[in-house]
Formats: sequence, C-alpha cells, structure tokens
Amino acid sequence: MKLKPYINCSVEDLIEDDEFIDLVKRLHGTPKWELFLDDHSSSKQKMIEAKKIIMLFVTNEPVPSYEKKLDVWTSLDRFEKGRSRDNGRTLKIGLSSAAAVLILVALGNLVYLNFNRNDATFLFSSSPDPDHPVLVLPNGNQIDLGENDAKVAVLKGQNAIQVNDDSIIGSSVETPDHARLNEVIVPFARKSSMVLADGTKVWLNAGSRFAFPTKFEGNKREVFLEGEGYFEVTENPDHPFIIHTQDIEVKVLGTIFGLSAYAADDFVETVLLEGRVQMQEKNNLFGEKVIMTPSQKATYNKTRKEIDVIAEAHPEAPVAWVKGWYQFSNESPEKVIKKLERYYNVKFDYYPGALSSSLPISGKLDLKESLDEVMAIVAKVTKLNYEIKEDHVVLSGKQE
Amino acid sequence: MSEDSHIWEKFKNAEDSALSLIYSQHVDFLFGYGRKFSDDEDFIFDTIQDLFYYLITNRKNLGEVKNIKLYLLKSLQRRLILELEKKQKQAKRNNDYHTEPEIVFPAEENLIRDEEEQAQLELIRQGMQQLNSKQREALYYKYTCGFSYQQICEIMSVSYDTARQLVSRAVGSLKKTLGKDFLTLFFILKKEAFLF
Repeated sequence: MKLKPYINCSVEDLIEDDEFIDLVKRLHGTPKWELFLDDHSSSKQKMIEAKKIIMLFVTNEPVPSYEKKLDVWTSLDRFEKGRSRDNGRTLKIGLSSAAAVLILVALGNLVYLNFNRNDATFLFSSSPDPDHPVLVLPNGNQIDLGENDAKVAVLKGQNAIQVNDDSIIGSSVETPDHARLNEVIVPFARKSSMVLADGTKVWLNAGSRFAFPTKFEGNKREVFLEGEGYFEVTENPDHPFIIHTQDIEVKVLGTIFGLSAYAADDFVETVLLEGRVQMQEKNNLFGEKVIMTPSQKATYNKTRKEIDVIAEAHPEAPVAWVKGWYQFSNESPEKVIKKLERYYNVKFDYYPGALSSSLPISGKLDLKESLDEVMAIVAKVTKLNYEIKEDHVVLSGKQE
Repeated sequence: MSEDSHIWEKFKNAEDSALSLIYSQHVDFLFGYGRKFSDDEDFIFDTIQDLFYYLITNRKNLGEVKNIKLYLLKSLQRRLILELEKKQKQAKRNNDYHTEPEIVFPAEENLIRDEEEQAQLELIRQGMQQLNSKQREALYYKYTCGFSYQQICEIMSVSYDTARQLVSRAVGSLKKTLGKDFLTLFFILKKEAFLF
C-alpha cells in the first residue's frame, strides 16, 4: 500500500485523516509503529500526539457469546434454505455442484461453524487450561498426561492411544461419526510430543490445543491446531495432510515445518524446513493462497488479511523450541517477551516506552534454565532491569 | 468493483456462502453497536436476526452496496430505534433502553488502578464528561469504527460540516481540559492495551 508523505501536517490534520486513523489502529502495539515514525521523522512528535488522541476513543467492544451467534446463524441458515426450496427459481447454484463445498467460518476463539454436515470441523473444548497437559477423548473423558512434557502415540491398526510409553487407552466406542476427535491441551509452561496414526510426528508448544482422530478416514488427513506446533508429516501424496487453524489452513504434501497460530497473536506463521506446503486463508471467498518452498517463512497478518512470504536464512530457528531452545534473530523485544510469557507461564509488566528504545535482538536461550537465568541474559541484551515477583516479571529502563 | 460490492452481488444472487460470510464478518461489530443502545443481549440479537431475515426475503430488490459494514450499521440503527420506541411506549420508564447510542470510552470506566493513575484518569473522565452525546457518537464512528465524515453524515443524518464540527469541537474541548497533562495519557492507554 502506498502511504501519503505526511509532510508539514498538523496534529489536527492527522486526526482528521481516515488513512492515518486506520494506520494508527493497525500498527498500535506493534514494532511497525516505531518504524513508521522513523520513516516520518519530521512529523514524529505530531504523530505521537495524534495517536494519543485517537487511541482515547478506541474501545474494547463487547463480544457476543459463541452460542448466541451460532443460534442466530442456525436460524438464518434454515430460513435461507427454506426460502430457496419454496422458490425453485432462486436455487440454481449450490446443490447443482456435485461436490459439496466446504465452508468454514471461524467465529470467536477458534471455533468452526459446520454449514455442511459431514465436513471436518472441530470445536475445541472450552474448558480453561489445566495444570498439566491433558488428553480429552471424544466421549469427554480427560486423561492427565502427568507433570512432565507428555508423549502421546496413536497405535496404528489398534485404534488405541498410548500415553507416556506405558498406559494404553483403548479407543472409545467405534463410532461412525468420524468427526469426533481426540484433543490434547498443553497449558503454558509445558510441551508435548505425539505420533499420529499415519506416523506423522507432532510437537506441541506451550499454550496449544490440538485435535486429531484415532484413525484417518477419507482421502484427507485433517487435524486442528490452536497455538504452535512442529510437524514431521509422513509422505502420502494421495492423502494430503491438512492443518486447520482459525484463519488459515496449511496443506501438506510430506514435509517438515513449524506452524504458530496462537489466538492471542495477530499473525499466523509457517516456516518450512523440507518439502512443500500450501498456506491458504480461510473464511474468505477470495482468500490468498501461497505455496511455500524450503527455507521460507510465510506470515499471515490477521488484521490486513494478507500473507507475506520471506526467505528465512535460519529456518530451524523458529522451531528450536522443539529441542528446548528459543532461537531468534532480529526479533522485536515485545515478541521475545510474548514467547517467554508462554514458556514460563508468567506475565511481564513494563512501562510503555520501556522497550521502545530497545533495538531488535538476536540470540539463543536455553529454556531448560530457570526464568531467572534466562532473564539475566535478556536484561543484559535489552539493557533493562528486571524483578521477578511470583508469576510477574517487572521490567524497567536502566536510566530511570 | 470493490470486494464489498462483489460479495453483495453474490448475496443478492443467493450464491452459496455469501450470507455466512457477511454474517460472520459483521456480527461482532453489529452486536457491539447494539450494546450502545441496550444491555439486553437477546433483544439485540433478535433485532440483528430480523434485519437479516428482511435482507434474505428482499435480496432481489436490494440496491447496490459499496460498504457492507456501513449499510448494516445504518439498517440496524433504524431498526433498533424503532423497536426501542415501541418498548418505551410499553414500559414507560425503563432505563435499560435508550433511543440513541450511549457511548462510553474505556478511559471513563472504573477499573482498579493505583492512586496516581486514578488522578490522571479523573482528569480524562472530567474532560470526557463535558462532551455531549452527539459529540461522543461522532467520535465513536470516526475513531472506533473508522468511518469517513461522508459516511458519518449518512449515519447521523447531519451535514458534512456538522459532522466535522462535532469531532473537532470534541477534540478541542478535551485538549483544553487536559492541558499539559496530555502527555501522561499515553501512559495509561498503553498500559490498558497491554492488559487486554
């Protein structure tokens, strides 16, 4: 998008300008705002003041409940279908196409509305994060996966799931409803690894939810992810492996890659190490679609609804968490802090502006070390002071 | 043709998925707007549902729409006001309903904060309380919803100049009350954004 030059404009001009208002709201809280200011250094002070005024009126709008939205949608859908039946002339499209089109619309917190029954959709259980990783079976039974990083394996041909190399859980009742999936919930500060029925290996990062079947049926292998995962997908061109997230789906043709799709982030990121994957926006008739080749990183921006693909010189870095490392290059301090919040299940408090003077940072952190040890390094690099108070880390600038 | 016009055409032709797309993209926004009129969530959803029933029933006769969000907001606004006037007649003194949107900005709401912040917040609150309901409404459309002045005139049924005046006077009055303490605002707002 081409931006106006914004030269010689007053605060009044800026707060009147629709493009500037839109920009402020999109860039607020992201490092891109600082970059934008740097690009317009002559108007910087005015822009900062204009932003303050605009942000006064940006409210946290109340959000309706998922159930209510679904209720209304169900009656609208029925109403529309009923009318099409009564009036044969308006029904020319739709049913004529032999293959039912899969329409997924994401509402709220990674939940899918099922418009065409039989098609793969999954509603993650709404229960709050447990203390330990848990496995939720289709019948609702919860199995505690223990205090350590959990291991789950689907035993091929036996319809059974093995937990932590010992206990084996027989598959729940044989049900023709294959849409019923198992769910693994990994709370913050935990990790989990698993092997699926087709031999695909999945590592789940802290604060993630993942749904998978005991047996893949049909010609697609479909799973659902909220959070971050690293995948080594068993090759099988006849049965593409598809990972659904709230905003995008990633179609895989035998490959190794990482996918980060946390609901709290305003982006979804895929980094490809081997093979080929296709990343596609959902919930949009004209959704963008990109096919990635190795050593590329694709980022979907949820606000702009655009996918950017860049070459990733160190594709192993974003997935180093699998091995207990967090490796990053040229990352904004905000993003690093967000990651540490998930790994250590803590909350960072800092004065606004405390981070603004910090440049992008690069490095490698051993996440097996204690938070205190890791923070000592981070503080040194960012030139900030820190203080750990139970589950809060308070950051402050050195100069203060 | 804009993307919105395109989707709208699809909806008029009863093509698959256009309705679901429009509903899912705008339902949160419409609900949030409805809450400015009433706290009764069922009432808001009933009105949203009626609006969509109307659109489905009359899809063939609907005009061209360039901005779906704006179109839906205006239609919902009209329906809410009509319904609320009916309700007010039924139950004469009912404080749950008001026939014009009541905009409350986050800085005005009482959140638990320390004393220093409370003092700064009090200042903002004072500034905001001097704004009248029309000014608030204009600020909401301009900054919260991101509509242009042209669109605000349509929503509020006022002239272009009036819409501009509402916004600029409101901002001017705020700046005056807050004076040189304006800078400290940044602190509170950033912190708020961080909390959510």
